[in-house]
Amino acid sequence: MAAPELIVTPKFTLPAQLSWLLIFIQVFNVGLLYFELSLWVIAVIVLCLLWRLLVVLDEKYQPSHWTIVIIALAGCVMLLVSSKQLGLLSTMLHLLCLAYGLKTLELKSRKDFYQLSLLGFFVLTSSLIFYQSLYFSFLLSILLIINVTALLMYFTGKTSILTLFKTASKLMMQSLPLAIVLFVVFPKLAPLWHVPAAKSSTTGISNSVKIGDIANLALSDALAFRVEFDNNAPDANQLYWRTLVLESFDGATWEQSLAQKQIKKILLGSNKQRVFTFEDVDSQGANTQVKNNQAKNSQAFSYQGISYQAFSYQGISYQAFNYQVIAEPSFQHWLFALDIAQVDNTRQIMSLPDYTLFSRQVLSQTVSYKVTSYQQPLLDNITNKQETLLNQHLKNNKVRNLEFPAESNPRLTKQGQLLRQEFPDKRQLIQAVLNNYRQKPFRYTLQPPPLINNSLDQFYFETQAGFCEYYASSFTYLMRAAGIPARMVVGYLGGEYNPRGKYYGIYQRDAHAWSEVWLDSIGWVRIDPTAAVHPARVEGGLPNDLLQQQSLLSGNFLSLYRLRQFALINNLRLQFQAIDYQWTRWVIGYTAKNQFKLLSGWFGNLRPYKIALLVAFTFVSIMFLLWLVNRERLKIAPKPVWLVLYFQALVLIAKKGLEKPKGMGIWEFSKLFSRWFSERFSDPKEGEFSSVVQSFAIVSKIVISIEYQKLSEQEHQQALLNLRAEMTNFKQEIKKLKFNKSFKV
Amino acid sequence: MQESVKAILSQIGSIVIGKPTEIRLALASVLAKGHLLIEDLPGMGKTTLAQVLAKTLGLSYQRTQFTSDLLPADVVGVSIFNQDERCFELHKGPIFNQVVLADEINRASPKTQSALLEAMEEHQVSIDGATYELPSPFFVIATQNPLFHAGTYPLPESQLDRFMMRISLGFPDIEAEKKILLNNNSQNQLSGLRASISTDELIEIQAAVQAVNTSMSIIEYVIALCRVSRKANNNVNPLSPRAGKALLSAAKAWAFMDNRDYVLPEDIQAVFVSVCQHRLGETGLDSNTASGSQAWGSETSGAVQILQQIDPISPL
Amino acid sequence: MMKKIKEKINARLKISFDRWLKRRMPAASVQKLSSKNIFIFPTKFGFIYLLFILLLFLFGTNYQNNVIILLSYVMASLFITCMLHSFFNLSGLTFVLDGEHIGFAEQKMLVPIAVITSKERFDLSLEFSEALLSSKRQLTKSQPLRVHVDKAVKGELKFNIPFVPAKRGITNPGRIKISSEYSLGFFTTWTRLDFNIKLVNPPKPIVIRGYSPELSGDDDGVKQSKNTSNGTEDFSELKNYIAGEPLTHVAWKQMAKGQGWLTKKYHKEQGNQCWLTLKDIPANNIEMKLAHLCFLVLDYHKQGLEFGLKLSSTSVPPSTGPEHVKNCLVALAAYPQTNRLADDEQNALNKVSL
Repeated sequence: MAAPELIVTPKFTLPAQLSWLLIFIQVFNVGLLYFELSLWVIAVIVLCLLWRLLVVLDEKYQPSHWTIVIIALAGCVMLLVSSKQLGLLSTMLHLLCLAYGLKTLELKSRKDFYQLSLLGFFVLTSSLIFYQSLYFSFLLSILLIINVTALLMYFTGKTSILTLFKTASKLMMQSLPLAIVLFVVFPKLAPLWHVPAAKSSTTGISNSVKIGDIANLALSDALAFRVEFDNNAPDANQLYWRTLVLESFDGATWEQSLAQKQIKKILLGSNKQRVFTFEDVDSQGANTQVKNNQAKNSQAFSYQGISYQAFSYQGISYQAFNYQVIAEPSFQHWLFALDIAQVDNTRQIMSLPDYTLFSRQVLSQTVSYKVTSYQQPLLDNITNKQETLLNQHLKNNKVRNLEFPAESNPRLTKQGQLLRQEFPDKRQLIQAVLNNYRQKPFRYTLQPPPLINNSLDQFYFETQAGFCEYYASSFTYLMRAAGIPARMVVGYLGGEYNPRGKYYGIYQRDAHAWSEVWLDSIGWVRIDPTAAVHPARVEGGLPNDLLQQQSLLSGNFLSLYRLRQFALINNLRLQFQAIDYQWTRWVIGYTAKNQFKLLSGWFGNLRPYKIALLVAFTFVSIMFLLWLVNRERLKIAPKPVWLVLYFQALVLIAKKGLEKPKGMGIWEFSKLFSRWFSERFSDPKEGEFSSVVQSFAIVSKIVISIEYQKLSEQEHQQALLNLRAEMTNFKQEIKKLKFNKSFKV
Repeated sequence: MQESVKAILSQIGSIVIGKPTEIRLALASVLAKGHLLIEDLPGMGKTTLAQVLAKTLGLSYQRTQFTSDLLPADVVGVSIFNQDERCFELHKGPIFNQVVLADEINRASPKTQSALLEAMEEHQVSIDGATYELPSPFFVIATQNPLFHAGTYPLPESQLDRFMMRISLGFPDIEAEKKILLNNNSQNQLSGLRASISTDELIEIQAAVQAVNTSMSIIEYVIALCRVSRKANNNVNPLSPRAGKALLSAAKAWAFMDNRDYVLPEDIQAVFVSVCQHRLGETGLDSNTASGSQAWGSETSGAVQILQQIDPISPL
Repeated sequence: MMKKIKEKINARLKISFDRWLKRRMPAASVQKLSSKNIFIFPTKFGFIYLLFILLLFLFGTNYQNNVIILLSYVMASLFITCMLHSFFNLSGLTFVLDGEHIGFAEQKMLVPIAVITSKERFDLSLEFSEALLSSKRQLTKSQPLRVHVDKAVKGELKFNIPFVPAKRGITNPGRIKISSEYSLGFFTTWTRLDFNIKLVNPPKPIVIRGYSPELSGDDDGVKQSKNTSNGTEDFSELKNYIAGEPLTHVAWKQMAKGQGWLTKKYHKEQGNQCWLTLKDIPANNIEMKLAHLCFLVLDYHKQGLEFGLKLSSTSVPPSTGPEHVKNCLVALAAYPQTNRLADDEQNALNKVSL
């Protein structure tokens, strides 16, 4: 019991409990951003918190104002120095956290406390720029409740923290309905102005691939993207998720050719250019005239034109797959799709001539897009319109994909030349190479013996053990050496089907590399040498022996391999992932378009007034509900069933015009009812009416016996049964009464 | 046992005419082992009722007229030095009877009143340091003149609490009054009364009354009534837990007399005014027909108001 | 000039607001809070919080981050939830306050108020709403005239609201402001209740220069004696001793003579009673005189002297005890306001009605 006290000194002090809670909150709020902050900022914040700890323990350690100012200034200078490296967003974030850390040392008034609380909210929410998964959001909401708890504690004095947490949770829960309605209904706005994107280290497949890169990537169990097919999905061995096409090889590293880089540059440089021309691609040689080409845009031959025509190639229609991809943030531009992909959202996503998809913006947060893929040979050379341009493009393309540093792997070069002589038919040549992989003792492994200088020679002729990129790389090299245009494609293969979420999850461990060769009259043909070495990989993802390897190498305790050992845990995992998927799809991926579709479905023609009405309606109903919950009322214990029945009877009688006086007992009332009844309905047809009286008397009697008499369990049950039976009887009787009454009156 | 109860009621009813409810209340008080206070104007039959009650129950009884010069020793008894035996001898006062009829208790001085009331509470008296048990069953019927009569010492509220019930008889109706006036040998009738039951039987009945079932909702009802009396500002003396206890046992007796082995809210209501009105510090004279079951008429005494505030079906 | 107009407008507004308040929330000694008399308005922090939500929303929109947008909606919704909870925190509270309360002018006094609540309430502050407006601003600064409780548990509580009466007189201290910033400080909920109480404010006691109880003599209009006040002056008669009378008054002589227990009765001299008289107080203005008188009343009471009080039109007959002192203080407070002050008031009224 808190005694009313007179405030004599206006000196501001926080209760000890609240001080501790604030420190706790700060640790967690900043902790959420741990991976985004520079080490020195974290150090400063930790220092501030430790200092605060001292102050809480003993007030004499309170630092002077100047100390704080000096720390703040030093921090700002440090930030200024490192701002270039950090980028704008990160700098702002650092500044925010720094202020948050320093504020804790300066809690001198209520205003300071408010500021600290708001800064806490800010820090908390800013972490959502980086992480949005369901788990993270859940963690964040709990932290949010704790933040609110601290604010609440300021106003409630000595109340146990658990009670306050409950109250805060209640507040949040009560706020949720309106928030959800607003979320669903309130128009989704386009970005109002350009904001600095979050910078973070890239994840997933990178622009250049060396031998061993994919094997390393495959150690990670991180989610790369998820796919949900609208109808049917292709076979598992067709799930080649094309991400990047690498055309240039310097003997060790596969990279994008200059032409490809040029495209990227153009795309990033101009927001207006939607359709992309071959000239852009081909002008790379001189690396000039980019602007001119843009100007010629309108006349230029559209690359997309080709792909449209490709669909009906030779009169055969190919099966189309519609699906939605939800990509996790990779901080790169590359997107994922099956061959050949077409996207609607050309504003944000471009189709590149090498059939890859390219996002205008770095994937700094979860992105979802719809793709239609047509499974067919990758054709390029059909149209005779604007032939010169196209031919020029194809020629350039072929030339690029024949280049290789011959001296880097002399034995392979020689092998290629030999093959070229041996097999004039390209198909036979390819088949021979694949057969070679099959017949020779090549091993598919995540732990290949090391290669000197990334020598493909060494791999192909000596160690003969490696991961997919070893095979793809050596195969592509061999093809080029044999005079067949070939290129390296990296991406993902397969994916894990989640039967609960009905989606495919593609993880980094599914990273894969394969090659494509150019066959005249057909076009680019996908050849996966890994399939020759280890067909199981293509059919059903990483086989168990590799998973075991992966698990050992990555040191991940909860690796897929381990999890798969236990059916229950695996089921649970799938369930959780399915929930997370729904969250990602419906909350993170809820776009203006989705919103329009959803709301049109509900309300037909979408009008602003409807939305306003809906929001207002929700608002009012929530207010009303809260009112109901909070209004002052006597606490009514849940009534036992017999009393509920009895009250039903009372209500029925009250409708006829007799209300039970409040203080009257059951027995008295049954007598009163009988008196009242005989006074009111003294009718010749008494027999009918008195049955009501009789029935109610029986009801009353049973209720009395249950409520006041000592009954055995059996008697009690029997009485309840009797009561129910009599109640139905009574209800019928009293209904009859209504008819008779109106008849009589 | 029910037969004996009926017999008692009819026997008392034959002498105290036209007051069945009051008789029932008085008997309920006896069966619930509570003391009874009868308050009314002189000549209303208070003393008669008390006498008939004692006689019918077959208990030893003595009537003591309380006057202003009555001393505690006159009630309790004194030790007197016996010259022959050379020792103190106890001369027991009227209190050593099973039924003590304290007539016009409020005319005695407070000292004497409290001597009696202490004995009532403790069922024992101490005289000159020695403690003497009172007989069992022990039952005090006190009659009281209305307080505005001259020469009275009102009983303090703390002592009023010791009486389980306060009833008042009120004027008889025409028929009853006719009978009273026509009956000219009431004294003979009174002396000719014979006990309807034995002492053992009475004790048995008292035990049976104790065993009457009170369900939880009855307990809650009693609690709710007490709480209401505490909440309302106008009650000088709210109902104490002891009042609640008295209410419950009186209701048990009432239920028993109704041939039931369980208490109904109606029983509580029947005895409520008698049990609680004097504890609430109200005078009882305005409620001549203070019998609970008709309590919701036009009456608006504090006790009745309390009853009207609580729904017995879901009291708390 | 502008300032004057502004002041006038403010005064006008205040008057009409007060009138409105009076109609809507009339005076009563028991008042229960409900939607009829509770006001809610966001605090500064509440507005800043709203700004924060807007910022959050823009942040989320610009980054097209739905989770942040959702969070901003949750926070906005929380704002509204808090509004309701702020209201529920006050609604249903019952306050009881009436009667007269005595406190010296310009000194802090405590006015007790009873609060009845059926559930827990938080962060309640009670103060006289006029106290802040009164001229005693410097006093309020050093010690806030407010009683504050973090948590009021179920049941009945007593609060003492501090108040500093501006000047002598019997006044109505105006409305009591009851406010709370529960639950998160976004809103302040408040009400101003008029309990129609009377504050009896006797003047602030001021020591008479040079006064000392021993020295003061008849010339001050003061008769002073150091002994017990129970008339010790003149012996008048002997009476039978009644148990409980002071033994000092027992006539031992008579007892020794065997005449039994007798008590000596004294009785005071009528003509030479101790009167404190207004016109005899040495001061040059009435207020000062009253202040001195007040001091004397208290001083005499402290010494246990019997005295009476004579003001120009009223007087309090000689007596002792706290009840007597109270009567004297009431008389001092009730003494008509001197003209100068009355003029000031008149001026103020004129200003307002212009």
